[in-house]
Amino acid sequence: MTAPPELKARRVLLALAAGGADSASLRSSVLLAASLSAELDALFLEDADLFTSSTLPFACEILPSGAERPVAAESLSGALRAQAETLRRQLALQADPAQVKWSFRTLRARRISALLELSAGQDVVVAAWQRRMRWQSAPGLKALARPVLLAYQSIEPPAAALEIAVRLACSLGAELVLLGPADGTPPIVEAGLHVRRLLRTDVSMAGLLASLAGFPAEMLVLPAGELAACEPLEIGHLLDAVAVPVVLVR
Amino acid sequence: MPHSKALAPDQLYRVCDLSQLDFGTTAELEPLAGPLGQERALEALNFGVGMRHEGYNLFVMGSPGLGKQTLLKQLLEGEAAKGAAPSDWCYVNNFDVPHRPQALALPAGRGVELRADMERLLDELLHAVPAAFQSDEYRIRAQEITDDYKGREESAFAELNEQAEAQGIAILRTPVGFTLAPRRDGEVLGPDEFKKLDESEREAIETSVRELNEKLKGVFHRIAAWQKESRERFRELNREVSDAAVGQLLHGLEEKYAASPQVLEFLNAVKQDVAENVDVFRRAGEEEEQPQAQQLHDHELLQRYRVNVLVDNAEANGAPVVHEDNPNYHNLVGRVEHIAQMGALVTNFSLIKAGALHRANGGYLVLDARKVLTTPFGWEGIKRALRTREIRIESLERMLSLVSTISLEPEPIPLDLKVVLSGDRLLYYLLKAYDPEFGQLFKVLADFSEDTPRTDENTQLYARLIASLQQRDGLRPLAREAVGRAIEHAARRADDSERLSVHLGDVSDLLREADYWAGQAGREVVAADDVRRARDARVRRANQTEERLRDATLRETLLIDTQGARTAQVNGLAVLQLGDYAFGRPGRITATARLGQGGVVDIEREAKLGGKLHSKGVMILSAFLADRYARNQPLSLAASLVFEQSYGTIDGDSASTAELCVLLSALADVPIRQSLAITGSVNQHGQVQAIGGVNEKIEGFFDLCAMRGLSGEQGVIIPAANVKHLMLNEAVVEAVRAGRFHVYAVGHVDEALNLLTGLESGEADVDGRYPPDSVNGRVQKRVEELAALRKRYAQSGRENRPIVENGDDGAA
Repeated sequence: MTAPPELKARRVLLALAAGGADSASLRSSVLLAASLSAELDALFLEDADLFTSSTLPFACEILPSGAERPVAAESLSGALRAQAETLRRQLALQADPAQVKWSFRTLRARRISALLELSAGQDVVVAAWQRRMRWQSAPGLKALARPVLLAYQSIEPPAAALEIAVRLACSLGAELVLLGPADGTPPIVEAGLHVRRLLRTDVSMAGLLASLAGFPAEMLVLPAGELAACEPLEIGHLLDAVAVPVVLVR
Repeated sequence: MPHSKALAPDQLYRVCDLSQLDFGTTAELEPLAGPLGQERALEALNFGVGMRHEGYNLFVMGSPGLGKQTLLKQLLEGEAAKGAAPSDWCYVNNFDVPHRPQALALPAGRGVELRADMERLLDELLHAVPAAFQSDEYRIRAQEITDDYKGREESAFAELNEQAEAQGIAILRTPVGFTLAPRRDGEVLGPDEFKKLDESEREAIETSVRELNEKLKGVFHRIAAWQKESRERFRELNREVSDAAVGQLLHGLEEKYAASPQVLEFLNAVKQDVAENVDVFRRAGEEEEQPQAQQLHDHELLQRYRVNVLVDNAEANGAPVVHEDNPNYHNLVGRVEHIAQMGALVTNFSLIKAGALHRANGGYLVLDARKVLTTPFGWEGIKRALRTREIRIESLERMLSLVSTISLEPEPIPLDLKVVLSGDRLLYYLLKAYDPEFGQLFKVLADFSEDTPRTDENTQLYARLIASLQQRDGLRPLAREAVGRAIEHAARRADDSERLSVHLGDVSDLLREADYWAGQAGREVVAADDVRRARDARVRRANQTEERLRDATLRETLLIDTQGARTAQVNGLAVLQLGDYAFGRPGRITATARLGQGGVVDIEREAKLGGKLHSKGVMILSAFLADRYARNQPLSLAASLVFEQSYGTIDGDSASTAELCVLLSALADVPIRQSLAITGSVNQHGQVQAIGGVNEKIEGFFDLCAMRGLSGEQGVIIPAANVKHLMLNEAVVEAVRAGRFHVYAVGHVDEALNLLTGLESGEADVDGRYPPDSVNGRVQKRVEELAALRKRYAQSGRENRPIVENGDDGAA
C-alpha cells in the first residue's frame, strides 16, 4: 500500500521512556514509518518526576524480584542512559534493514506534558513505552497478530487516523477493529484486510478505558481530537493504563 | 665285533614306485577332497565345533604351512552354513544415563532397517514438530495461556494503580522496576513541597507508600508464581502437541517392531525425549540462523535419536566365520572413537566401533595365537570376553588409568561364539604350562601332524593331493614321474624314507616353482626334471653360507682333513639351520687325555658355548669310560674335548659317539681315519643312537670330499637307527653306487671304532680283559697305567717326592 496523496507525514515521533519497549512496538513503529516513507524520530523521555521522587526521604525502588532498594538521582541517571542506549541499538536493528531513516535523542522532562507539547507539531506520535512488566511468553512462540484498534468519537473514523490504522493493520497482517459510536457494515478500505466494527457506547475517556479492558490489541490508534478536550492528567492516565502502544494521529 | 658293511645305494634313497601311480598326468586325477594324514586333527576339529558347551574353544596346533587354515576354513564355513544368521547388534543412546549406551539385538537385517527408520523418523520430526507448533491450534492455545497470565498481571497492576490513585500516590516506572511518589494535582511532590505538608499528612503518605510498596512486592511475587505456572502449562501444552506429532510418526514403527520389546522401549524413550527437547525441533523449523554454538548443540542433540549399527548380518548366510588378522585389543573387543570439537575430544554412542568379537558373535572367530599373544592386552581381552561371556568395550587408556576424562561405558553384549586359536606346538605347551585359564577356555586341541606313513595307499592319496594343489593353483599338470619326484621330496622333507611330509605349503611352493621351470622349458606338462630343478634352484638360492663355509674349508681356513689318519682327532658332523635351509657342516673334534681324577672336561661347556644336551652327552661318555675301563679302580684321567674352530654355541648329543671315539683314540694312542666322518649319540653302554638331520650331515661331508676329489675311502658313519631316514641326494647315491663314497651304519661304538681305526675294537673276556692289541685293550692298559700313576702320585704326595710316568719313582 502506498501513501495516499492526502497523507504527507514527514516524521513519526516515537516516544520511549523508562521500562523500555518491546520489540513488537519498535517493529510496528518502523513499519509505519516505512509505509509512510517518513523519518522515524525516536525520543527517549527521562521522566523528571522520577528524579523529583528520588529525592523524597522514603524514596525506594521495588524490583521485579520483590527486592527493595534505595533510589538515587545519580544511579537513576546512569540506568536511564544505559536503557536509552539499549533502545537505540534495538531500534537500529529494526530500522536499518527496513531502510527507514531514523534518529534518536534523549530529553529529560515530565513525560506526559512533554509528549503533549511535542505531539502538537507532529502528524503521527507513537507512545511505545513499556507500562508493565515484560511478560515472558513461551519460547519460540510466534504470537498471533492481534487487531489494530482505532477508537474515535465521530460517526465515521477520521480519514488520517483510519489511513494510519489501515497501514498498520496491513503491515502487521492484523485485523482492523473500528471502535466508534456507530455500528453497522464496516467500510471496505483495503482489499484483503479484515475490518470489523465495534459499538462504542460511551465516548468518554473512562468509557474508552472500559472498552479497552480485556480487549487484546496490537496497537491503539487515536485521532488527536480524541484527546483535545482532555486534561493532561487524564491523558497520562490513559497512556499509562493502556498496555499497548498508542498512536496519536493529527 | 663284526665289521659294519657299507650301505647299499638303495638303502640311501627310497625311490617312489611309479607302478603305484596309475595315471599319465595329474590332470587325470580326482582332487583329494579332505586332508591327508590329519585324521586326528579332523576328529578334534569336528568335536570342538560340535561341542556347544562353555570352554570348548579350539587350539589348532601345528607348524605353519600344514594346511590348518584351509582345513579350518572348509570345516567352519561348512558348519557355519548350517547355522542361522545371528542377531544384528546396535547401540542407541541411553536417555537416562547417556554415558552408558544401550545395546539392542535385532533379527538379522533389522538393524539397518531400524537405522533407516530412525533416520526417516528424525527427518519427519524435523518437519512435523515445527509444523505442529506453528499450527493455529497451538498458537491459539499458547496465546490463551499468555493472555490469561498477562491479563492477571494487568489486572493486578490496574488494581494497584487504582488504590494508589485513590491515595494520591503515583506509580512511576524506573528502568528496572517501580517507585512510588505522592502526587497532588497531577504533579509529583518534591521534597520541599513534601516538607510543607502537615506532619499527619506526611505520615499518611509515608504509610500509604509503605503499604503500596508491600502490595507492589506482592504483585511481583504473584507474577513470578504466574510465570512459573504459565511455564508449566506451556510445558504440558508442548508435551501434548509433541506427543501428538511424534506419536503419529512412531505408531508405524511401534507396530513394525512390536516383536522387539527392547526397540519398543527405545522408541518410547525417544518419544519422551523429543517432548522434553521439543525446542530443538522447533528451532530447526525457524528461518533465522541460530548461533554456531546453538547449532552445534542442536546437531548433537539430534544425533541422539540415530542408531549405530554395530553388526549388520543382513547379507549373512548362516553363522559368521571371522578371521582377524590384526588381533590387537581394540580390533578384538571394539573401541570408542573420539572426534575433536571446539578444541576438546568428545564422543557419543555413534562412535562405538565393533571388534572381531562382535562380528563373530554367534559364529566362529579364528585367530593366530602368536599374534594375539604378542599384541598388548589382546590375549587378556579374549580371555575376559570368553570368561564373562560378554563383550565389554573398555578403552585401554581407562583400563590403564592413563586418562580420567569421561568416556562411554557401553552396555555389554552377550557373547556366544567359538574361538579357534592357531599356533605352533611350543606356544600351546607354554600356554598350558603358564596360563591356568588357558586350559579352562581352550579345551579342545586339534594337533596337526607333520607327516604321514609312506604306505602305498598314502602314496596314491599324495598324488591326488598334488593334483588338488595343481588344479587349485591353475598349474600345469604334472607327469607321473614328476609326481613321483615330488613324493620323494615329501619323504626327504619328512627326514624319513618311510614317511611323507604333509606340509602343504612346502609342496605347493615346489609345485609352483616346478611349473615355472616347465614354463621356462616350454613344456605343457611338468616333468620330473622340473621338480628336480625347482628343488635345486631353491637350494641354490639359500646355500650361499654353506658354500662360503665349504670354501673356507677347501682353502684350509677351517681345518678338516678328509684323508690320512690322526690320533685324537675325528670328523664330527653338525647341522646348521639358517631360516628354512638346513645343511650339514663337518667339524673337527679333538681330545687330550692325561693323568687326573676321572673328569672329562667339555671345553664348549666351560666356555659357555655348549648347551645342556651336549653336556649331558659328554657326561654319558664319561660314565661309559668309567663303566667299561675302570670298574674296579678310580678313573684316573683328565680328558678334554673340543670342537675346533667352532665359534658359536653347540647343543645336542649327536656328536657324543664322535667325542667318545676321539677320546678313546687319545687314550689308546690309535690314529683315526680322517676320510670318515661320524655322527650319532651314545648311551652309557656304548650303543649308538639315532640323531636328526642325518641326510644333511652326510651330504655336508660328501660335498666337501667331492670338492677335494673322492678317493673311494671316504664316507660317513651313522647310527643304524637312522638308516630308515635316509633320503640322500642323487650325487651321494651315485657316488656310493660307483664305490667312491660310503655310508656305514653302526649300532655300537665298537663298530665305529673298527671303522675309524681300522683295528679290532676287541671284546672282553670273562675277566673283563680286552685283547692287548685291540683298541679297547690299549685303552684299558692306558687307564690302568694312569690309575697306577695316580696311586703312586698319591703316595709320593704324602712323602713329598716327584714321580715319573715310566715307572720310575723319581727317587733317582
